Amino acid sequence: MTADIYIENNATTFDRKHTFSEDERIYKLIGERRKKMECFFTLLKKKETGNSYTNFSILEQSESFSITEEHEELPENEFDFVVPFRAEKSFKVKAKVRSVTNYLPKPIFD
Amino acid sequence: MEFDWYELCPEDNNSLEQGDLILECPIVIPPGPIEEGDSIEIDVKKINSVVLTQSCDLANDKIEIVLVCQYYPLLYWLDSLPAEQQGKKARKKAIDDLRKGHYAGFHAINKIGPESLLEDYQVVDFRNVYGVNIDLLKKIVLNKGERVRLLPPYREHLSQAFARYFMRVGLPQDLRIEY
Repeated sequence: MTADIYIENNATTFDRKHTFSEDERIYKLIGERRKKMECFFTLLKKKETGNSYTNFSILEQSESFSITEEHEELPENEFDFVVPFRAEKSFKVKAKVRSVTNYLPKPIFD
Repeated sequence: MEFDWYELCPEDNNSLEQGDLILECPIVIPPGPIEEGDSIEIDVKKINSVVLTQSCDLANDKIEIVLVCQYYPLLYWLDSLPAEQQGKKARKKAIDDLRKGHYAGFHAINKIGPESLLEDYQVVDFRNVYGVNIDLLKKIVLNKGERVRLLPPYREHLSQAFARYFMRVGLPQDLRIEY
């Protein structure tokens, strides 16, 4: 049994796919990957109980499933979803300001 | 019951809340795709802007990018109406429709008065929203003089108007009711 997780970043074109096997426990995940999974499971829990995390969305969910406490087990069914995360890649470039204008929209009405 | 529309934030206060009016907020226009190591030229648009991001997200450092949109004087908005709506009666009707929220992309807010930071009524334009880095925005507002903050319940009016605009979905209306 696997759970395919598609993580999409809104700010860049960065996409990532994680695949977890049945015996891969969440608490063994390390670093960024673990953090993301915790975030994801918290999201699902909050979603299930109708609480917050309205800034995230689960786009597709094939079947219903339950989440156990402490993130010890994976969901029982396969599911797909998209979770937007903050930008993970950034770099600096040299920029020269070519123009500064006080902007007003024109025309307002077509 | 009457409520105050605004409060003035002292210039040494760089906290941000929904409904904060930020003068001359810089919006950077990248010239195109940017790669690491590039040397680019950028254009900067300065807009008078109002913060749309929820205050709770701002207070709890939940976000990196603050959502803002532009506002401008009501007079500018009125002067931009189509020619056939430039008559006195039509302008008055447009103002009334704006006040009632019939223009989904726009939201009217009050003026403060002569020789103030808001001499005229203002129109918030939801049609174009911009994301500004929160650290940058805090630097911008610091030591730039007093600034105006929209107060409840008018802040919530603004938020609701934006939500109403953003949630619109164009759907077919094919129900025919025949008696």
